[in-house]
Amino acid sequence: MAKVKPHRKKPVLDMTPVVDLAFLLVTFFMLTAKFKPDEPLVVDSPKATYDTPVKTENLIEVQVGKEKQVFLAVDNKNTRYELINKISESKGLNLTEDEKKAYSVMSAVGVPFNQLKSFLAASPEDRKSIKQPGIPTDSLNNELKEWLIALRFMSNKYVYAIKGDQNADYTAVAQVITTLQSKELKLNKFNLITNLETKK
Amino acid sequence: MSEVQDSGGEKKKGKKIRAKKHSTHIDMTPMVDLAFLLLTFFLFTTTLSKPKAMPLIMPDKNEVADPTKETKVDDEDAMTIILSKNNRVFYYFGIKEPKVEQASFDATKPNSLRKAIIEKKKECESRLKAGSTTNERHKVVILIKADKDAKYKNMIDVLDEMNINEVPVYAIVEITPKEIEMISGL
Repeated sequence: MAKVKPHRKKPVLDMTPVVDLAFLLVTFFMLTAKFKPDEPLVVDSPKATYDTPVKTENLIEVQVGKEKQVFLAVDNKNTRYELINKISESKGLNLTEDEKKAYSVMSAVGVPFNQLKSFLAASPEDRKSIKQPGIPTDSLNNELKEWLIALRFMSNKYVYAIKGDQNADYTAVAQVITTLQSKELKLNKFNLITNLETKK
Repeated sequence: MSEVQDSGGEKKKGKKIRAKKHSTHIDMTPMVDLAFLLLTFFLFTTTLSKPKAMPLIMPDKNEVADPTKETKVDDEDAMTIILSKNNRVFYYFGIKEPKVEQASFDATKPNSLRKAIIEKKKECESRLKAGSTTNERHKVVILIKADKDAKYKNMIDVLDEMNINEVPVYAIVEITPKEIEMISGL
């Protein structure tokens, strides 16, 4: 009689549940991840050890770019719509309904008042190619102040923050701080946005 | 899910030759690899770029007109930090006869700013303990000044240093022409 050979079987591991699990997690993270909105101004925040997360609700963010350009990012579509309505009225810009809607869907805007109408009238694709010069903040022509005053009149629930690029000149940020502290605004308490750094 | 365990090739001798049965089993390993790669990618990208907030309270500019409300700083409690171009940082103690010294942001260097702050803090605390000052408020007061060439990053670094060393009172103040002159030669 022939010897009984043990039945050789390749050890097969059923990977299907692993794949199921992995893809479940992938889809979970993909769906929960909030992608950064398309920001016209790239700001490289400096690092610090503060670890309080930023509350994005009702956040008014003044961004200062590398070349001292100042952008204003207002949270919430409705707030933006209300704001542009006010600005259009007070500055006599005569913005159409479409232009106001265009502003309300944009994250950050850095255009002086005299260019605002043509900027908003452009198509979204064209707008991306336009280089936004930033909102003027110097003492003679401080348009940032007018934006902020309009916001201040709307409500006082807003939280103000400055998001500066780490390579920006401090004077540019100081100008923004002076604007916030001006006697019309009196905003002495605000946040500086940083990135978390592991403790030195 | 049913699986075909046989590799399909070797059949018992003497039987009918049948068409080779291919295994329907698919190797899932590369798929798992890919899935976990994506998983790790999303994990890392979602957690790393969370912005943090550094609260900053500035003294009210519009109330300074009232001299009684002005905060007085004692000569021996004061420390001034001056920021300048090329990431340079200077400091001096007191107000009356300042002796400006250059410091480094790198905490591992012997002339680091952190060391100077810690020493000043200790000195003020020991004075408070010894009872040479009666005012409870006497603790180190740090004034931060930036000249026109300073970078925002340096300002954040100094403010962060205040947080790390738990400096009770600090303020961002405008630089004076005298101070610009003092650091211009260094």
